[in-house]
Amino acid sequence: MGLIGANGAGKTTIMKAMLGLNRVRRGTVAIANERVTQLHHAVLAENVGALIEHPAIYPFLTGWQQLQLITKDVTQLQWIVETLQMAAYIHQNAKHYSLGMRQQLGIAMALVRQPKLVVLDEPMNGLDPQAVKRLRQTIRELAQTGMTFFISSHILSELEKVIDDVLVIDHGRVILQTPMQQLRASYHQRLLLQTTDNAHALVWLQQHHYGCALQNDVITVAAPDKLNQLMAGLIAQNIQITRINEPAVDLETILLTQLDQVSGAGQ
Amino acid sequence: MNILRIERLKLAAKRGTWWAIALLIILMAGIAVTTTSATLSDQRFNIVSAYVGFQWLMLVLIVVAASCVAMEFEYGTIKQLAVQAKNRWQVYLTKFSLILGYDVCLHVLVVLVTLGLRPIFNPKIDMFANYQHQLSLLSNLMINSFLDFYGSLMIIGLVFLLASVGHSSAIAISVGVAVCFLGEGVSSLALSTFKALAVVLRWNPFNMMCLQEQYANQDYQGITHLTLAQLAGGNLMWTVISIGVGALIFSKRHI
Repeated sequence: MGLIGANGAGKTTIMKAMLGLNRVRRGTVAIANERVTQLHHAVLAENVGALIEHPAIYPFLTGWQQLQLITKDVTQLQWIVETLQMAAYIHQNAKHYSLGMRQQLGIAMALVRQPKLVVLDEPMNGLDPQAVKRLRQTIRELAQTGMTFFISSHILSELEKVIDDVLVIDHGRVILQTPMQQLRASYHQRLLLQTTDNAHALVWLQQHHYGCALQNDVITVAAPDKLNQLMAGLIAQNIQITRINEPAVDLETILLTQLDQVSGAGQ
Repeated sequence: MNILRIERLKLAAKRGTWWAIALLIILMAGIAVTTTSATLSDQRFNIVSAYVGFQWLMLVLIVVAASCVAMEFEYGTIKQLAVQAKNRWQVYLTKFSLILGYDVCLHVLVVLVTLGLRPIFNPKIDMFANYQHQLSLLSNLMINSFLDFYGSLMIIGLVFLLASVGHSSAIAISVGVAVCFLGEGVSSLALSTFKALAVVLRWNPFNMMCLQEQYANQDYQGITHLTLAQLAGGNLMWTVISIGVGALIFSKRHI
């Protein structure tokens, strides 16, 4: 699940509350049917891995020692080092790590025990494109084994490649929660048309009960079931269609649209 | 158990933990060198006080204890640690017990180093000869070591509490050292200045630090206004209070 929202929307706060790091004023947090509070969160130790804000790293330890704080299992340690390709620097002292290396180590610490739930707050921060690709693949592979990921990121183009569901929040409130597939489908059900006579075309479309609107010389037509019928109708009116396309909608557009709608409703 | 393993790994991986021990031995050896030409009485006194080893030990302990707690907030690692533990009380108490273990090790080390330095620098001194309280020098050294350890519990508790409040270990170390070396003076000054309030003031935490001195010299009771048993009880009381308050602050602190 992807958690998205503007700066200050409450993404990190939600994640911290899930981990018992914040006091929850209203509502409750439960993981595996066990309540999580600031004073009691025993369920997290065995079931949850997390990277919140910045990687929690002791500068006097090597990356390997840092991972040993999470697990004693050498097989798990070797697996994560190999998977995230950290062998070249894992035995170096962490104080010499670059931003990207520290971030990789933070992610490795969250994943190494392969917990049931992984909470990642801005995991792509500071990673180079290859590392981002590797992380994406790892998340996909682990998700297929049954692990659940709860990820927040501002790099929406990357986020949308790994998530199945999206949760959009604004000022601490959920404004959208839906499967990505459904979200994409709902945004794809419209066509953009350009014709030699947009005004005439709009009138014809409205007369034939197509949901449509004209904006900046482009007609947006909602959910046309029979495209042939629409095109034939316009051509019969001597209107030439100069361009027709189905816009590709990315997560960024969806987020901006949702936030616009919320702020519009607020006004 | 897992948190104890984590804490042990960190303590062992810190170079300071080992450098402090090396420094402690060097400083004790340095003092031992200076005692070679001293009178036999002074030599005995130096041996029974472990060549000032107990004081050096306390400094080491304050630094290690303060950084053990404060570094979690300094590096932001408290978040990870809190998720791994059942709750933050567990983290705090595990850290305390680990430092307690380190404290025991340091005291054993100081006694062993004293016993090792004695034949080299003070060969004329017999460890089994009678010293204070009709006990041998060795017994007095062991009792001193135990009393120092007992007194250190309150200091660790206080340092932990201070380290839980601040973002760096500097304040906890400074205050810890000040309390450790000036506390007794402040307490005796307060007790002699406000004699009418002595009934209450004698229970102040700084007064409890005179335990070791009062064991060595019963005349101290005139300064502390407490018996040896009362000092021991007071020490324990302040240790429990400082651990409790410190753990509460540690568990409630915003991270």
